[in-house]
Amino acid sequence: MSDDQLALLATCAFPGFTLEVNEALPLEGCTAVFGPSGSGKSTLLRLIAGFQKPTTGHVYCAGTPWSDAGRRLHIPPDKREVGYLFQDGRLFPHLSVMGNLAFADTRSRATSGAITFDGVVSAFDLKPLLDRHPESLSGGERQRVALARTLLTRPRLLLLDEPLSALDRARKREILPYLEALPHRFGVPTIYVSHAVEEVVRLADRILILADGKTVAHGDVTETLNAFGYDVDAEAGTRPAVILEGRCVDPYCANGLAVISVGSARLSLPARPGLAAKYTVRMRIDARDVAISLTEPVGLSIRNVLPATIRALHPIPGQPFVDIELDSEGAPLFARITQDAVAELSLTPGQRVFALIKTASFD
Amino acid sequence: MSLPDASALALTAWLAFLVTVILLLLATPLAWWLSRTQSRAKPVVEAIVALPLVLPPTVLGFYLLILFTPENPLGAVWVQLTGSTLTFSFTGLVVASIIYSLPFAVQPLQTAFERIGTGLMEAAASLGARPWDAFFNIAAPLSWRGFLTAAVLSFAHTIGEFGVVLMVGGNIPGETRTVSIAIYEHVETMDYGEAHTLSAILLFVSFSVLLVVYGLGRRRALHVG
Repeated sequence: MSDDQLALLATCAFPGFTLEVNEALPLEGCTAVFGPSGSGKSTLLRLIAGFQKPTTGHVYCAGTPWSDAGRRLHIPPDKREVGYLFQDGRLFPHLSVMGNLAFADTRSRATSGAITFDGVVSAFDLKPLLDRHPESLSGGERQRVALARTLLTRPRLLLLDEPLSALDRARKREILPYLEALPHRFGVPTIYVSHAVEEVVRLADRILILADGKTVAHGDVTETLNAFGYDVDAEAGTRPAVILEGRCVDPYCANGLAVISVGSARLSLPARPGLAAKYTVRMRIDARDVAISLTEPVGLSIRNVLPATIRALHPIPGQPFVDIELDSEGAPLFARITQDAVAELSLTPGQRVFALIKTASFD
Repeated sequence: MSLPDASALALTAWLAFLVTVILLLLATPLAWWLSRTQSRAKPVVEAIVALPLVLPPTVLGFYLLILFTPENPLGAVWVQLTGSTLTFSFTGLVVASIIYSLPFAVQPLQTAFERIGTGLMEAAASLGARPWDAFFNIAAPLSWRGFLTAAVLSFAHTIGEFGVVLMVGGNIPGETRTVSIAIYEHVETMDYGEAHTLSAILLFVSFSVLLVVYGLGRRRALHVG
């Protein structure tokens, strides 16, 4: 058992459902646990936190046993140095924001130079909220406080259980930058449970896909999701989308756009807080947001153009659309266009074309 | 008011105070266990705790009297340990009152603890709080209303008890003669004046206590939300 990983070899049996994992998760960066509702994501997180005992098997963190059913050993959650962010935040209603943060701060046993009370308060912009009580906070503010509170335990491992699922779109957009900045700013390894592929793409380095309590895939986010190609989105069902990986060249150029290099091409997308030069940026590109041109376009409102080669055509049964599978300098891409357009442009595999991507589709 | 009646009042107040303090100490862990356990013994324990609610006080008092007499193991052990009997003594009265008022302390606490749910306790554990720490700093302050209700009901119920006191304690001035016994005695001897005085005092005290409790509950509720 390696020193820098979380070794999971365990089953959790419930009536009608069994979680079965045999994985080693590296204790660095952000690992997403992804899957539809009922796939066992939360059970896995509760197993790691210690709220759930394994029926058989064990959980080891960096060589230290946390649970071992064979040895009847179970370290309770309060002794695991794990930070757990609940879906609903679970702030203590009788304490102010300050009281909630102090509860975690005073009980943290580890000393981490990277995490200080003032540092966390300023990183999450909590100064104006300190005297407020949880019931007077908005949903987004509550999750921000909860996240800050979790960090103040100075955890060795941060577990985030669908922290955005209870929030509306606007609130999500408010919290995402804070989550995104976590690994760079505080350097705490994170396991992020989600059923939203956009969040995974934006936040995680690795992904572990669960279905019916079993691991379906585990690996690099871009490779794993692209390998799944057609049915990657747990919620939207089959919808071809790919993940493009690029490097941020300019986090904030004119007109509120950031410039990202992908291969030899440059894409611009709306700048967002937390983005910095040289960061690796992942973009999820939906086939419906990609159009095809035979020539390099001029005089078009679409800013993002990638040279590509057609690899295959996938007509969609019962619909007037065709999914065009493309290869852009080694990166996969899908475009969903009408059958009429395919006929008119006489698209065939091997043909060199230009893929046009709408800027707005990056967000 | 006569001296014996003043002494009965003092005795009753002291008895109720003592019983309330001991009951809160006993009922808190019991109510916590009942609110968290999935044990099959839970309904049995709940039924036993609730028994004094339905049992006629004389029945309860009768069994306790039998249990307390030195001919019985419990009573005998008590005599050996302390040199005095549990029957017709103040100590016996305290023990009997604790059993008699137990449901009035356990039930409000259990309800309050159940309302907290597991979510906040899990959150406390995930923030590194040991179980005791989580109880005192999260569960207890969030259950303050339950503690207040339990204390008031235990106190008031102990003041008002009659049947059990009569069976176990009898009517020994300064030892087991409580206010309700004194009132009964005054009525028996047609001394309505004295009965009126004591009754009015109990009425006034009970009403004042309840008024303070409800007033406090409202103000705190507005503050805590």
